[in-house]
Amino acid sequence: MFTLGSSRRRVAVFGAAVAVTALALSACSTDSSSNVPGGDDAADVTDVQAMLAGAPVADDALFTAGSTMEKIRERGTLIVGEALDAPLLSQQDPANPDDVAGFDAYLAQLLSVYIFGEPSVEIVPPASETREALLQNGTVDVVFNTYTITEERAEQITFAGPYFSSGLAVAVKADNDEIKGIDDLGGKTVIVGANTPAVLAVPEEQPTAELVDFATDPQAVQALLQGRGDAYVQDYTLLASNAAANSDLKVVGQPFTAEPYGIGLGFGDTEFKDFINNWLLEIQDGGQWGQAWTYSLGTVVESEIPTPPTIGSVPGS
Amino acid sequence: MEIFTENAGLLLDAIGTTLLMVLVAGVGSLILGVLVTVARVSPIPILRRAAFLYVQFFINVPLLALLLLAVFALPDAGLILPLLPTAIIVLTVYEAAYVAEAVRSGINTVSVGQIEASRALGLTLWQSLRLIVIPQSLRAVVQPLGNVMIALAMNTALAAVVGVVELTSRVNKINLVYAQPIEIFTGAGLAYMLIALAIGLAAGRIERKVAILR
Amino acid sequence: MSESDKPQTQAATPAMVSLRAVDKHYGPLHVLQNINLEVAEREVVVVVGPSGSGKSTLCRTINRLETIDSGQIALDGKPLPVEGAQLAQLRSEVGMVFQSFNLFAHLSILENITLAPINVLKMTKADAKREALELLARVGIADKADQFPAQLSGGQQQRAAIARALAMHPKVMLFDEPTSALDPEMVGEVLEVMTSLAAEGMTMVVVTHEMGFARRAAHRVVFMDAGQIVEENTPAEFFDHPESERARTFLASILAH
Repeated sequence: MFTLGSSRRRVAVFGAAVAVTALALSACSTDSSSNVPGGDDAADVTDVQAMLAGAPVADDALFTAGSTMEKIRERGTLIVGEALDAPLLSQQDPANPDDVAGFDAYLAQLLSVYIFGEPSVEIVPPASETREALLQNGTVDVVFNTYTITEERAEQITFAGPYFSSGLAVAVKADNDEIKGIDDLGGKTVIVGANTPAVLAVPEEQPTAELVDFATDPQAVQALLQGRGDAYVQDYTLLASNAAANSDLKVVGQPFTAEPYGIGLGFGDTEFKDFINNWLLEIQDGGQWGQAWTYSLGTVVESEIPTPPTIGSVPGS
Repeated sequence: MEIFTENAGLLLDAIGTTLLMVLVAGVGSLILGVLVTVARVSPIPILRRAAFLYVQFFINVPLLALLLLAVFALPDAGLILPLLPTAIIVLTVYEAAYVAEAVRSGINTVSVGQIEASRALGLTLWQSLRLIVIPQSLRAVVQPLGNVMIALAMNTALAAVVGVVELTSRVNKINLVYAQPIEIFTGAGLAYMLIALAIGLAAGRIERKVAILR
Repeated sequence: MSESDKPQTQAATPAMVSLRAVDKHYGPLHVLQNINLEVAEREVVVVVGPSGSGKSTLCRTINRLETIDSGQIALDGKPLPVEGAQLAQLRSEVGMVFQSFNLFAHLSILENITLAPINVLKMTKADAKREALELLARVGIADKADQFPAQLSGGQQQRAAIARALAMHPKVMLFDEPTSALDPEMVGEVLEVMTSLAAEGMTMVVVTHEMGFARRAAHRVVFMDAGQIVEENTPAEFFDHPESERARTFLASILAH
């Protein structure tokens, strides 16, 4: 599935966003991407292994006959729709493809431990625009992909969770003293990540802002630093990690939206949804949720472990 | 279906941008491609070499990489252009390499006798290229050039990656709201198919019209 | 046309075409060996010889479609330029008719004829067209002006090709086996045009197997074999009293058919 398409004759609608990442990282290697999150202060592999070793495993009684979780257990591996290029959330180590690190990645591994007793995850990197289709046609079992719960999406697929709550914030060049937050973006050119919540959220807050979207986060950062836009609106934690890695960029103001991330499931699979919500509660209580945060987003955000959102608290979940 | 009616204005706008890219880059790449071919068959070794390298470079570097380089690397070199013109320029120089290859294969269909006859009449090399060789080559490669233009139309979708709001980018955004990828991308796919079909039909028409009886 | 009707050449004028000590090799093959040939203004020279004798190559060196290894070629007293604009200029003064016609396949007959006058002689389109139509009438295919080469018979195509060459007002016409690619019934119409051209005093070098034409229209016959000029003489003398053994063998083989 992770193909770097060089075939020029195909209809390049799908896959472009996926293919671009590897190129973006190599083609645009400036100082902005030299400090990859997950470097020095990232979690030790042994920490993660310890977290997984101590993680809860589901009771056999939970695998009711004919249920999705039973089929997955029969198969022996959990197929997850999950990014390979999202720093701190789910990023593949180019030198070691089996090593996928980040908050979403750790949660997916924890879920597989819950089902099998040991981690067994197969990753299908989805383009943001194909997540619903991947779930609907059964290509993946679950999606961990900063998948914001919305009511429109909930008509196509079912969300478990929310398992994490984030929000969009504004980043500008370090020498910009004019823009102090979302309120100052009227009439400005605003860079956003293609297919991220910012594409919809920015026009709601600032209808006169002009949007330019780029496929990956490194591209968007590069575009901001090259002056293709006045500001970059993205998930707060992602911006914080960018700012930590690159002193030419700073985050201004507080998050102006609440983005509840859900776990995407096949539409109407309430049995599986209950199973996963149950698991979420178990890892919250068991401390693995907090560990997963500490080993990923916690490495760049200087704050206590946040309180997880209440399961089922969002319309659409 | 209401997805398409509710967003008709935005979609038409985006299709307009896609068509603009196809048209401008199409005409540009045809002209540039022919010039590259002329350089490639010219008697001046350095021109021939340069044209060869041009074709090899653009055929062997993925379009996506070129787009990313043009959008993100050129500004570092002090050259910053708006996104749409950048994408059009990249598409033009990229497709020109394929046009050049197609036209060169057409040149091979022009018999030596045609060139000898033109030289014997006192036409200069440039005149015989312009008046005899290129027109005959182009007539022989209408269909292959049509295919290059279809590929160009498909390749415009890659401009979405670098922030150009054309058809693919627009349907991505609409899908973000409606979360109905199958309907939305099927619709976009059909639009691309229609563009390709139109180019193919036009190529067929032109071919019948200009075909050389032999 | 009888011998007395042929325009008489004037010995005093300098040669229109002059080849001196011309040599050419194709790899190990010595295709032209020390060729010396002068063609006077208004003279018609027919070159005959077995295939592979070098007669076509000889014809093509005169406007430098073939280069030579050594020797000199001059046209109207001026040595042949090597390349570039001067060569193009010289070629424009030499008409050439090919065995395979080589009409431009993508142009109509009229456009074939007006192309070079417009682009090389810088004639106006109207003038070029008027002259082209006159020439087409002269070669007997005025009604074909708007057709494309492939729509014409071989004989008609070759007559159009002659008209195309004449449109440049050449000082000399080269014919490289102009009837060899034609069906027998079309040979006559082309030879007829060539004969009348000769009668009008055009300087011509004709490579051909048509001995009847040579006898009828030529002032001089040049016989080549194995890259050399073996014999040259008036048609009557050459055909009736060939001097060399090789010419006798050649004539015998042709007349046997």
